Amino acid sequence: MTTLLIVFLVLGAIATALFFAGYTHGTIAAMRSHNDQTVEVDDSKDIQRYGWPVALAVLAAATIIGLMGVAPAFIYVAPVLTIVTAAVNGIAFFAEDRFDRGS
Amino acid sequence: MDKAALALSPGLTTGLGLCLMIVPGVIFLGIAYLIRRNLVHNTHDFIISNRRVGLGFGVGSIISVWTWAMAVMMSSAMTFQWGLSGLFWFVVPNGLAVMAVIPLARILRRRMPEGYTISEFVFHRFGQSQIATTVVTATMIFGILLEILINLKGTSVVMSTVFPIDWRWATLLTVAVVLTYSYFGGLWTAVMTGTINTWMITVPAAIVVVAVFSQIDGGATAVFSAVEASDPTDLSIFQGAAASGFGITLAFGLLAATVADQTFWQKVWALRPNQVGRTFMLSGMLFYPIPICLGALGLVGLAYGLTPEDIGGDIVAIGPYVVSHLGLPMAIIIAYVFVILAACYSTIDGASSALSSIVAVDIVKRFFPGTTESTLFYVTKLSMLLGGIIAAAIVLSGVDFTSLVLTTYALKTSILLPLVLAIAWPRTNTIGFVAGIALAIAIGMPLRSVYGDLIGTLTILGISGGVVVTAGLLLNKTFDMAKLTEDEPLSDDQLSQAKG
Repeated sequence: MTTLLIVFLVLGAIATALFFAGYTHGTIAAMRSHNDQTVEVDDSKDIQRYGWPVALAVLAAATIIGLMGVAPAFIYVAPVLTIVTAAVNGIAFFAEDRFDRGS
Repeated sequence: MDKAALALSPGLTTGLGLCLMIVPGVIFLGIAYLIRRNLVHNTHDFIISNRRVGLGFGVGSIISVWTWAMAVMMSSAMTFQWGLSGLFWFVVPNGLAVMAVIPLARILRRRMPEGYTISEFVFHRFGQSQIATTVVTATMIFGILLEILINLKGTSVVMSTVFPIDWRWATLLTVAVVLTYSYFGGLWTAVMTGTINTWMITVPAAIVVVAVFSQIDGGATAVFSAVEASDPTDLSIFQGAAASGFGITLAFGLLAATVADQTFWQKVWALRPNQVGRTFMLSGMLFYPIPICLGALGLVGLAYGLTPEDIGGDIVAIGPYVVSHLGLPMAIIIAYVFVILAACYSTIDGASSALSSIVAVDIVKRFFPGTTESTLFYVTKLSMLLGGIIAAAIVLSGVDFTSLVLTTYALKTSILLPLVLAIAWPRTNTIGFVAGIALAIAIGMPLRSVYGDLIGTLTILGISGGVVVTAGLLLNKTFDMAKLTEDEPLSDDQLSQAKG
């Protein structure tokens, strides 16, 4: 087993822990709020500007693919970010409380 | 790097393959049982999760439902066929298509806070026009059936390639597993199991790709050098042939696949209103690394100098072939199979859940408004089973479902701009909407068959959008979007009467 693979296994384990901690938190929150019958209509705490973030995300994806053809090391950027996807998904469960409070 | 050194890993038995398919299903069945007991009490909960889906479940479920089993393999395949240009044109529009829903979702969620389906919107937007609503409903149903079909087909191909399992049994088992657990909890089950599937796709995919490069002598450097020596243009994202070959057509097809798909609209109305834009934004961003990561397997195929003939004739098999022929540890091969299965299961249960919302709102409640809540609940659940059974029957029959693909393509592409304009441009009217779709199909599809995908797609888009705009300008009538809020006849209460 190479050092690189071990590093990725550790990163994967950390992301997994974050993901399932968030998942558990989200499940409990969903069960607590399921009886709430009010139809929420207020979207003022949602993102209001999305043009630039979308453009930057598209540009970032294109850049990462382009860099894969520049040097071999960049091939590992996407696997790192794929693990980040799982971690951020876990964090999102905690973040939604913060967004609800409007901070 | 000699392809003669590649050989199928031993130990990939039928029993192992069947276990891998069944174990996630059993775990999800347990989750579905808990959901059924705690979160689902009526049709409203079943099809729209009481509009309580938050950011975490929203992001996880959208990523997994958008990551089709075929997409997992196609990212590697497009890299294998076109080099990094193929990966570029496959990936970039994919994430963008998810984020493109944001402006439309914000408008509709604000105007129809108690909405359920996009067909329901069309029904009220166009003065209860049966033609407009029927076209949109049919498009949604065809699209859902196609999603289930393609994922069943892709999974059965992978399972029968990697393991000695008959593809028919793989198809039957897949549909049986997914429908069993989906049946119990509807959208909540799709959302909660889909989020777990996002974990099953992401972490294993990253480790598999790194393990693949670690298994090769010289690692990523050796792969990079071999591809560069073979054809340096494969390391460029600027090959025009990839754009004209499939990229531009795919980009519009992907936009239609989200904007004209009830699977996504169901989530728009199920999410809490202050999380809709944020959820779709984060989903699109976080989706991007997945196909890029798996696309690297296509580079490995190029580095070994593999040809489509070497891998059974279908380039989609390049990912499974590389993973199962490098001599990787069994755990890594199993992880890759889990990635495919997670992608398949999440897309099928998401699509089935979307179908249940269409059946409940656009068929049963519209044509049989007196249906009792308990009857509606069972009809809604049974519709999920029916959709899966029809899709499985089509796959098992072995018939060429090209006609279904073409029909869905024609409907989805032709509906894209009229639907966007109906949401965003108040001067869009019924005549323009229906005529735009009809003319786009009548003229665009024959042109597509003669001149190919690119000309056909651009024609369909040009005609459908052009007719809607022309009719809007000529008739010069402005629809009051506030009427959508006033006219919403199917309130949440009507689908949650049984709630105690």
